[in-house]
Amino acid sequence: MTSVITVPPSLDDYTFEQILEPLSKLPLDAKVLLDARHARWASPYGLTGLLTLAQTRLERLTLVVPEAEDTASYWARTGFFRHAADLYDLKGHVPKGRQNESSVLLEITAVSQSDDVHSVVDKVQQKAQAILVNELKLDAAATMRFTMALSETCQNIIEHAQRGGWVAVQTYKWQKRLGRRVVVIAVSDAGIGFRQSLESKPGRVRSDRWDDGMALEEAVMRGVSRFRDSGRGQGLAGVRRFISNWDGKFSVRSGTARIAIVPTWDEDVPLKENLPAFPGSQIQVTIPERIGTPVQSKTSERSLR
Amino acid sequence: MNKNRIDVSSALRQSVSQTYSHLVTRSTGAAVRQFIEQQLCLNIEDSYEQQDVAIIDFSHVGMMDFSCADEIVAKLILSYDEGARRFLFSGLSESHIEAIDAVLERHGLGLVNQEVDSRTYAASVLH
Repeated sequence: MTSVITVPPSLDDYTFEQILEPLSKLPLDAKVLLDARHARWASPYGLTGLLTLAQTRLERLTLVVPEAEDTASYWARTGFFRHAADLYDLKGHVPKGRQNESSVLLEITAVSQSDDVHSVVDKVQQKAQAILVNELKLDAAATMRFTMALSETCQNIIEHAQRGGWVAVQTYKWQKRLGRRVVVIAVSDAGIGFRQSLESKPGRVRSDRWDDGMALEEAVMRGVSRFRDSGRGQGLAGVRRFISNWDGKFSVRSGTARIAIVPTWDEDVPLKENLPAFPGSQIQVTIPERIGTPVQSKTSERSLR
Repeated sequence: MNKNRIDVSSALRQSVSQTYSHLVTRSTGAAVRQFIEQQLCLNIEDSYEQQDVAIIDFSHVGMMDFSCADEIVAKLILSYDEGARRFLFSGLSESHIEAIDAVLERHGLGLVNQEVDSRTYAASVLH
């Protein structure tokens, strides 16, 4: 029997859980059809998440592509179908993607080694200046910091996932939630996740309270790494600092938990636990168009729980 | 030409790839640092001037991430015994300084402007 899971009309980091919730209850070798016929929009988190999701299953999934021509066409322009064709049985009309989509700062790109990060950084660097400075009104120095954030989030895959992942960068007007333009980095992998990565740290002392949420706090807020080298683990902590300066949002989901640096414009919670289990990690960086001076982030290291 | 001035951009091209212009990823940083260390060893054998100041020049480097800052700058400083070699880091941009400062802080170090020019810094112990 094939289980059918409906892809929400608007697929983002929140609504992605609506796919994971029923999927996580099914055995890994279950036949599953993801029905995206009525999908109208998907964020880079949603699209990279769909690719990652397919990698977690033993039985190849079927994906019914969006019926709306403009939606399917947009998914094609992000490079989604090119990768999805290797992972899913695709049903429905798959349009060909055109090049030079201005809102796609970086097409969905596979990341598995250091060379891939160099290539991603080179591609984004060329376009980032115009978008960050002219459209998002950030200062010129933001371009370098943005690219640093991109590099560090991609390296999380190489250093910790122990298998390849995906990255995408897009810009769009976030009309409903913010009424402003945003640029979004999404990085997703189906690797071992933060908890398992930190568990492999030499000499780690087991504590009574140890779960996905605590592993995320350790890695993201305190810069703990699985490596003995004291210089490790600074990447995501550095990204966290940048994001706060830009009034941006930074979230990392791994296993059954999600941690977030929440700006004042968003109503998310800093730590969510007991989510449906999903292997690997999913990182999202959202930077809004600047209006006025930066605002203090709601999250502090002491206010997580 | 000062034999103890090392162009990091050139070190990147020679040690990793001719086409790379940014210092990103830990493996890239490690390769660049090893190249720099080899150059410094060669210079020592040539001149027996182990106490010389080594100038690490970032003028032609685009972006540098935290991983590379740690592998190149922090590990380079930490790999030499105190006083055995003094490093000056020149041609640093605002974003280079930000990355280096963040990684050095973790090792109890910081950057101090050398007043040679506004873009030249030395590492110093933080008190």
